[in-house]
Amino acid sequence: MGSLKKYLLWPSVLILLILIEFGIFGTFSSRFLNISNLLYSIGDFLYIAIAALPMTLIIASGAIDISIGAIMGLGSILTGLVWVKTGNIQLAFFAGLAGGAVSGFINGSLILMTQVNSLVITLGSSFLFSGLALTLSGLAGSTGFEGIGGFPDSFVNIANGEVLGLPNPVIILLGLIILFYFILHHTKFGRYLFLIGMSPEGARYSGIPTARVVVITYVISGIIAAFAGIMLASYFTSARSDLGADAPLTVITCTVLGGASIYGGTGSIIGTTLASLLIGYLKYGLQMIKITSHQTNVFLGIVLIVSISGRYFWEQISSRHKNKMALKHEELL
Amino acid sequence: MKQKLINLILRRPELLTVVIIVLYYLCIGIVNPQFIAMDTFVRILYNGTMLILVTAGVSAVIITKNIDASIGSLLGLAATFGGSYLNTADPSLLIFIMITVGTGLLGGLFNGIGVAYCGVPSIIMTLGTLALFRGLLALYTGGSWIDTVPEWFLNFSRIPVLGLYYPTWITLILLGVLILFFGRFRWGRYIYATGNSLDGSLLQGIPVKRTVLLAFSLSGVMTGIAALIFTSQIGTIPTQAGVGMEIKAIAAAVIGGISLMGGTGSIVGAALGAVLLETISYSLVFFRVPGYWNSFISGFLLLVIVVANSRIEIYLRNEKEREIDEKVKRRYLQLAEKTL
Repeated sequence: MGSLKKYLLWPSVLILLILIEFGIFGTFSSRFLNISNLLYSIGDFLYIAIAALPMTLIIASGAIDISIGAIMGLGSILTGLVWVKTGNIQLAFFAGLAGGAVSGFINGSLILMTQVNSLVITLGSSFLFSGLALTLSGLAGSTGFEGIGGFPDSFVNIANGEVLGLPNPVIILLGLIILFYFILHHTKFGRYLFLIGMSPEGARYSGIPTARVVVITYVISGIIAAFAGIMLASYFTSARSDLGADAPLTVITCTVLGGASIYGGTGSIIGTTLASLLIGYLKYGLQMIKITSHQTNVFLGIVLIVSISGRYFWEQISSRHKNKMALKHEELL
Repeated sequence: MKQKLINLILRRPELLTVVIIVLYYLCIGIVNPQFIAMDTFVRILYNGTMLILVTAGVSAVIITKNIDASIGSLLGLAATFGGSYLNTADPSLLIFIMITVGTGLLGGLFNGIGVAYCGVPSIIMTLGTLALFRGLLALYTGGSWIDTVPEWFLNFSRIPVLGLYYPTWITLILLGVLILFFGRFRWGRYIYATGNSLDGSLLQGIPVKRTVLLAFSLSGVMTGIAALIFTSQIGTIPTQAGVGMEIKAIAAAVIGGISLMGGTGSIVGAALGAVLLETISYSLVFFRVPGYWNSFISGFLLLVIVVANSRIEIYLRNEKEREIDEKVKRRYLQLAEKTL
């Protein structure tokens, strides 16, 4: 019972926060609390929400991936480039995903090869990938930050269309959430990730193929990041090398806010999803009451710091309370 | 002999950085001999002052086994506050310096309090303040640039003294002070001890929380001083001032032999790492490489250096262990012979 309570406590706090947020924005702007509005606005932060899922896997294993923003740009540019050169949109789509997979593979194998902290490797590789994206967009003839446009309707529809009244982003997000929930919480692979996060040495000594697990996790992260970049290109109907450049900060925020410890060993897909909704609607709501994206950063930073330190103090108080109870119990004996 | 060399490099990883810098110079020099000149080095030191300063600051934080990812935004914020004071009617140099460096100090203290006293992991705290400080900057300026810096302050970094420019001199002096501080002073050694083993330091009675706070404030102050130099060297303060500086600084520190696992590395190494990064970007400018190749090439070189560095270190460590094993084996055989 005790562990169940602990398991459910944080998600319910997040749900409460989301409800409070809806209440506040609802009073400021009457247009905000509108079901179709709320559903369609998921398209705005789809890339954050789906990139946060593999990030939960990575953070649960005690590592981090800063390069997802760069991989998003690279994925979208690759898709745009192949589309311009061949005119085959399916090929272009898979080229983008393949680019993401290769990027992830590079990240994972470099981390294994050098034993250097994942933060450093992915920082360096994010330079590499975003530079590559910029260079490729130069090759495609669009100088600098200009985008590659002219995508066919079938591609644009992926992020803008709807099925049975549900916007496509909602369906994509739901599908990926279920997939990742299953991977992290109901497979051997997911258990391996948690074990590696808790103690990499211990995991290795108990015969877990840590190297393979780490590389596969980074490949998954790369593919999903590239997919998020392609979704952005579809949503904005143009591919640019700097798409998703602001993503890493927000994605890590969502994951940590969702209950994953940056030191590894914990993390939950449900928490991450709720935190992504919280942050996504925060951004959307602030936009609605006409606060610019730069100023939104102030709120984002404050929410992150206050919630994490709040959780720390909450844990301190509750453990002190438990200690006191234990002492009292001993005295009675 | 070989053993001694291995030990030396393991103890002083910055020697590897020196070797890499020299090799890089030689490689570029073979392609274009004009690159090897005193003027090049003076230029690199001049361009690199900001990076060297913030790298030294962030190194203090990394040595305590934390990280500071907020310096880019803090640099922008400090430069903006200082720059807007310079635009008032009759600015005095002293107050200007106090505002800029003070902003840096306050930002660093904020980070430090969050990490040391509120239990926020440093990467989360400083990623949060990275967004927070940039947002404050945007709120304060409303998105407009500050581009009227007085002529006398611009001249400050344009007139050379004894062959070098003022910012370079200031940086060299500060580096000297920091080297002394980290090597010879109690609180400097506390920083190493905290990073080496948190629990051990606690048991030794080292004020761990205050040490972490000190490291973050040091990083903030260095960022503030870098903001001074930014204002003087660049002359305009865009809202994007300092973007990406944190990434470069962390990369420079790591290249210079400061381990993210805390407790090891030296300020000299960090400064050398910054010089190496600056050399790379200067050489790209020197060869007139098109701008959009820039981040690709520097990212690639960065990864190559990090990989090479770590491979060499792993190799040296294995070599050392093998040597020790052999010594033990020989001793054991000797003993066995004697007793038989």
